[in-house]
Amino acid sequence: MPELAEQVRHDLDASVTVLVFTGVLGLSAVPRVRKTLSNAVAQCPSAVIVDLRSVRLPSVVALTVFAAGPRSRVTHPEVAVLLCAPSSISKRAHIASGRPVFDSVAAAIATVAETRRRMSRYGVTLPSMPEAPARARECVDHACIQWSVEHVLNEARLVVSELVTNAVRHAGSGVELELMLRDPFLHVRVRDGSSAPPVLLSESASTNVGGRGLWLVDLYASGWGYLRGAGGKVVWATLRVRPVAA
Amino acid sequence: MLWPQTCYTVEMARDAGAPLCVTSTRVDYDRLRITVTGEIDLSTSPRLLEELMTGLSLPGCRDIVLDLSGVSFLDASAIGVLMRAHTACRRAGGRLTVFGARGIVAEVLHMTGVAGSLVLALLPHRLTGSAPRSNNGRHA
Repeated sequence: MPELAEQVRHDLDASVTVLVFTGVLGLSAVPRVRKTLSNAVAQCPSAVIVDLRSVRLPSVVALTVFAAGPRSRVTHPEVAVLLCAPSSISKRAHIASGRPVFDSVAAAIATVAETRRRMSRYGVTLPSMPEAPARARECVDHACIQWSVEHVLNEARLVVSELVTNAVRHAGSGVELELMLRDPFLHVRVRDGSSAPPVLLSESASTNVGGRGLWLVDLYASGWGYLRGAGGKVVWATLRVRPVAA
Repeated sequence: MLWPQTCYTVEMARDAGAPLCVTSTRVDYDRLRITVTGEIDLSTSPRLLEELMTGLSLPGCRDIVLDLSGVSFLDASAIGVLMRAHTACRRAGGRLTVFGARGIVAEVLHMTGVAGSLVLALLPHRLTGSAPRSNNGRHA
């Protein structure tokens, strides 16, 4: 029997991470699947889509691994988890996992896109020019006022300014800024055409301005990270806009 | 010798970028006060650096007093400029003094450790965002 294999793909356009599993998903593989899912969710895409169409399932019980919210909302915004499974097991998969089940990745992505259209979201493409950070801060001003989260305005302006500055410095392509209110966080995504990962330098070592910029992001954001996908990368950061209800 | 207070540069930002106004005043023979108003970021920090370096190239000028009380935002590109100006002042045998920073501007200066390396005159209540105390930059 083939062992379980996995492939992780970041769709930067759709803001989803697709996990494609192949082989046998038995109970012994559950810890590994949980870890893969947890890592994907930790990068705060809008959704994680788990493709199980090429998986052999000795028992549907293994799918309960997708039921638990793998991350606490104290540190991360909620990330939707969607499954793709053959129609023969879709009902049982839904019952075991509590997750919506689709018959194709495209259908799942379409659902995520529809959800994204309805959420508090602000997207803008900025030219790769020194003026881009200032324009990005204007967007932050608009978004924070519209969403009544002015209390994180200063921090959000700084974080966005640093991320956009890095994108302009290193990528030389158009920069896409996306701001989303993902309660209880403000989620910032900055996409550029370079797949080189951002480098966080220590405070003392940062004679490098970009490294110091990311150091400030690390300081002011609740979380940050990056995703590399086709045609570039997304650097994201979250800022807490209100305390989590007990 | 009484040195006349000559204001020699007022520069406004271009339209698209961050607003920035820089005013340099020779307050003493060896001392230049530079007052910055607006936002210091990727688009405006090169002009601040130019102003600082131009000031230091004036004959006799060793000390720069930088008034940031009108600055509402600065990021890592500004920190880079301050560090370079600081090094240049030290090399000239003088120093860079920064004062008037408030709110998140003061916070960023402190967090990045710049406050430790510059002579930084900040308000006691630096994190409250209150208006800076009147200070003409003539402290020793």
